[in-house]
Amino acid sequence: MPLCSANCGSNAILKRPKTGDALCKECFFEAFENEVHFTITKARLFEPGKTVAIAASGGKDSTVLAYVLKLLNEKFKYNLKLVLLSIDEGITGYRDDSLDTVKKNRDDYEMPLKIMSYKDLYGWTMDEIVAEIGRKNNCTFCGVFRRQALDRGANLLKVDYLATGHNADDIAETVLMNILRGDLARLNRCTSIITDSGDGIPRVKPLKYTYEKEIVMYAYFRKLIYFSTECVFAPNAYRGHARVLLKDLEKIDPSVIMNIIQSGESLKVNETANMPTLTKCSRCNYVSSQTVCKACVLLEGLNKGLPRLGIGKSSKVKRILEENEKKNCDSTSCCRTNNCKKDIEGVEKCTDKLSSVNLIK
Amino acid sequence: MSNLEITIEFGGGAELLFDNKKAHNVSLPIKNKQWIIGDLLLWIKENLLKDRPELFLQDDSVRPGILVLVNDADWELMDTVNYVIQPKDKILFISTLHGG
Amino acid sequence: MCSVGDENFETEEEKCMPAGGKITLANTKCNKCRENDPIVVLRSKDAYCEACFLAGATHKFKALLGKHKLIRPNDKVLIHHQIGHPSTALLHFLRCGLDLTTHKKLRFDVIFVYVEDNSQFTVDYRKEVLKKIENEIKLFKFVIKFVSFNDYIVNNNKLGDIVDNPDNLTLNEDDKININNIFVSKLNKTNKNDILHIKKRNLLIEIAKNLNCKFILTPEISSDIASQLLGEISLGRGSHVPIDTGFCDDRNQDVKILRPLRLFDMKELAFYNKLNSLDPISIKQTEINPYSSVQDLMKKFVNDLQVNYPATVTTIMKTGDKLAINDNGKQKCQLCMGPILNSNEELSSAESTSFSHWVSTQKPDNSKEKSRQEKYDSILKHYKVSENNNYCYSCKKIEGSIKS
Repeated sequence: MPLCSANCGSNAILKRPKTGDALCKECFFEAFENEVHFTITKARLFEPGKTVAIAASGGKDSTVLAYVLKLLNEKFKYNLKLVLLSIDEGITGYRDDSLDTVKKNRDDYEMPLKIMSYKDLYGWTMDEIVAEIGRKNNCTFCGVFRRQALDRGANLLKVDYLATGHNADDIAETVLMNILRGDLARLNRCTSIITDSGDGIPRVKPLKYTYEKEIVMYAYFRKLIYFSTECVFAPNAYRGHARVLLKDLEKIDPSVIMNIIQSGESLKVNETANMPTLTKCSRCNYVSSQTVCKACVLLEGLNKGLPRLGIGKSSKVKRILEENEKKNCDSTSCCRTNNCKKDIEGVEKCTDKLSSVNLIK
Repeated sequence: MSNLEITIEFGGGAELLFDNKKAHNVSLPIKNKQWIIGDLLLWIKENLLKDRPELFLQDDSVRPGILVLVNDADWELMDTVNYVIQPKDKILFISTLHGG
Repeated sequence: MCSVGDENFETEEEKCMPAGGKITLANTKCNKCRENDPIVVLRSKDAYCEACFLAGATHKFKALLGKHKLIRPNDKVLIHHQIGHPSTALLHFLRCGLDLTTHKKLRFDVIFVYVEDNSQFTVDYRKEVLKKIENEIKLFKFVIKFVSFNDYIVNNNKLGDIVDNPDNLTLNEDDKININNIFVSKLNKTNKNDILHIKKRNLLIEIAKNLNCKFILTPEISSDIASQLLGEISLGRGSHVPIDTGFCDDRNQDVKILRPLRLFDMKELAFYNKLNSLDPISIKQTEINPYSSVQDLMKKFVNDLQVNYPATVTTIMKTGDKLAINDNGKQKCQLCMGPILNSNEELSSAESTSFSHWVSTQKPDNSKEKSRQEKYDSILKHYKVSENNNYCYSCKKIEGSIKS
């Protein structure tokens, strides 16, 4: 058994993929935590006295993130208010287990927990959506809604930051994926440790430089509880191929992960390259490359009984939306989304609820 | 009913896998189904390939990097492995892998 | 957590790769002239007749050279010759271009060089290969010089003899061991490949300078470019992508390296050769485990993916083409001659790795009196980001492993 590289005399329990050094348990905890602290302070992620919502899924990344943030908050006196934010898609059997885990996190870490459901945010649960549209395109709905759900939830909670558990493996994988897809715009942004999702609440990734393997080891040795599910990708999905490639690369040389992130951080886009412009959704003000964001489009489809609206070409979508705009909103068939902005008699109840969801500042 | 007489040729270094012989006149035995190129590949593996089959074949086709021409035309124009072989056809395999 | 939707893709199409369609091309005509029967399908979708294909290939070659307007009449150009379809096609493109009597004639002087680097084979086989190369070049009525890569490496990067006759190259059975001996410690294959690749490039530049050539043409094709791009990204050279994979590599102010075949794929050039009755010389293939190095893995990854998703290579190349060289610092790396980035205020992956290594080697302070903050401060106080201004991020990791 090799000795701990920190020369403390103990036997090592892991070889760090990031640097090749071998560490014993205690030194590993210390190093792991000090590095996250270094990332947070060097990148100036948080200002003292602010509130941070931690995206909690019950998985290993968010569990470790919550644990470490709480620990560092106390030891290094960040003076932050931490709250767990979890999304309930309303899928029977799936979220139940992970939500139980998040509730355990709330109890173990003594952190407030806010669970936002798709029902709260959009008026539909995933089960209801599947009942309406079938199983074919439900991933699209879930994905789009979840992405916005975290931002909308953070907005409702009026927090100052949203922290996610994206780790080094995730980021490296995203760099490779965006090269395969030829997506220059995302390639340019995906290694940023702070991203603005467009509604003013910055998303931060304190675990950006932490390897997935070390997160798993940390959770194991600290005896942290988490829930793991296998996420299955479609066989022709870019991310699936990027993931397999990254795992193969890691076997050859684990420092490749940090190299890829370094490449992502240091690449420069040609000024003359064509990049899509971003604007704000005319319905809910979320950042989008279209005039009506994806979530609003999907919701429009659900509410008007047009389940395939939003699954397909955006030009067709635009036309249908314009047609619907022309029709009057009738309070008796009020859509459950409360995104309706028309000032029509009988819709007052809607506008009340609207103000809590509306992101227009 | 006589056998199916065809010529198989190798180029670009593929001949290195076949005793360095570039042209082979081959007589395929008649069977109840028609000969398609897929069948021919199996036949080549069993009767002609001297060693390293993985340098020539992969799954049910040729290894990526081996080009196939039927009578000097790209086999992609003819449904590749499903092309039905005709008498006196010339099937040429060009390797693009034997470079350095 | 499930990453679905994290990327905020607007459509389902954006998440999945465009697969190659099953096209029935029976009874179609040539894409271009619409008259003749096609004889080749390119990129799984475009069918061409012989005449249009040949015209298209020749035009593509000339257009790329001409577009960049770098080579001036009477300039001397060094051609890096390798074994295989791309180099043979290049021989033909150049011969035809130089022999033209019209105004479209290529107006520069060319000289070929073969860098002998086949130490994995026996001396006899290597001599046989050299003879074949000499004969192929003679067929095209070109001049070729020979240089030993081994000599250059073993003699500490000094350019040895550039010979006309390959018999005058010194070949030894233990050349392979000699090359391996220049590495100080047991380096992994990825780093070895990286160092040898850089040294070969440096050698070519030395040869060009020696022969008074302002340009070098190399035979890399599209799939080489794509796998090299992914490989360089994996080694941390994201800022060098334009010079590592673009048309022109101008890291050296005297000699520019050009990649005139970068828009061609292997099938195109193999067909070009076939239609011109050219059969390139071939060399035995050695067994390579694709999981033994990053470079080999990327070649396999790109080639495998390309089979089912024919847009793979072109998409990767297009991404690379839209990148610019990042040279915020004016210094050049001593090993690869690429620009060295200035470390600015922002936290980078390099700094994070460096700090991690530092933290992993610090003896823990177990005193009960000090607070966590105090212990951390003392770690930080003695931590210094090594200011190495002579090598870029990637070369910094490998430069210590070569014996001087």
